[in-house]
Amino acid sequence: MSMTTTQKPRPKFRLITDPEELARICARQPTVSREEAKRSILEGVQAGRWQKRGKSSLP
Amino acid sequence: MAALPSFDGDIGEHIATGGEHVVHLSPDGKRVLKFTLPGEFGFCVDEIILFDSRTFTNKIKLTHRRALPSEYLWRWLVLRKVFGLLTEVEGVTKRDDGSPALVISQPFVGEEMPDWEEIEAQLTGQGFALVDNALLSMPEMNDVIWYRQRDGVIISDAYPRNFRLDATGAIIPVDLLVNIVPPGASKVLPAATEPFAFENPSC
Repeated sequence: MSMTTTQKPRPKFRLITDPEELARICARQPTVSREEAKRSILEGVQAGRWQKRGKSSLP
Repeated sequence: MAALPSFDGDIGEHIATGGEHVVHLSPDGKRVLKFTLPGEFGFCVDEIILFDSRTFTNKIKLTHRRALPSEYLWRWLVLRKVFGLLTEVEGVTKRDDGSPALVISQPFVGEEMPDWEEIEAQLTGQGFALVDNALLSMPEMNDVIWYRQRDGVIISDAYPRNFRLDATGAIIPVDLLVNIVPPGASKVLPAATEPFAFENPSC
């Protein structure tokens, strides 16, 4: 049995030096759904970019 | 100065903890909410006098020191101004134990990180120059401190983990330490020629 995974290709880096263009790009965020955002962050946790420890202690 | 508003919005779901923050994802998934950990407000770049026993002289170098809450808030306002990410200071809230937490929010940009070369290209393209490691007091600061002499903006912690590569390939800093070096304030760095100001469109 084979398993296939679909992985999005990594975006190709674009150098942006115009602050206004950078601001426009920032203003367009986010570009993903809530579920995709959550999955993506949890992948970051798995990859060690974040630690998930305990509860957040926020009410 | 106006007091910080009390944050009483929906805190969303706890996703992760890292650095000085507990990170939650907003209920609609569009924004990341960052709550400061007790007594943690990140770091600032500052200067320190170190005694060199070989030459019997004092040397001034750049260092990190713990940031004050006001410097933490300032950092996000400058980051927004310099790099464009719509970071909002949401206010202050209380933890279960009654201690305060500052709250900021940012749009969720994704988790794809640029590599070192892409960061170097982006920051160089925006007029920053890597600060010589000889001017730094701690090895962990090596190769992650950038300074833009034009307006005196200094950024620290320029590790790939503090940037994101968005779907269009743009590099967006999400968690940099950003400070302003006022003219004459540094013994190590050259003074700004067009000092940073929020109303200055060239910054």
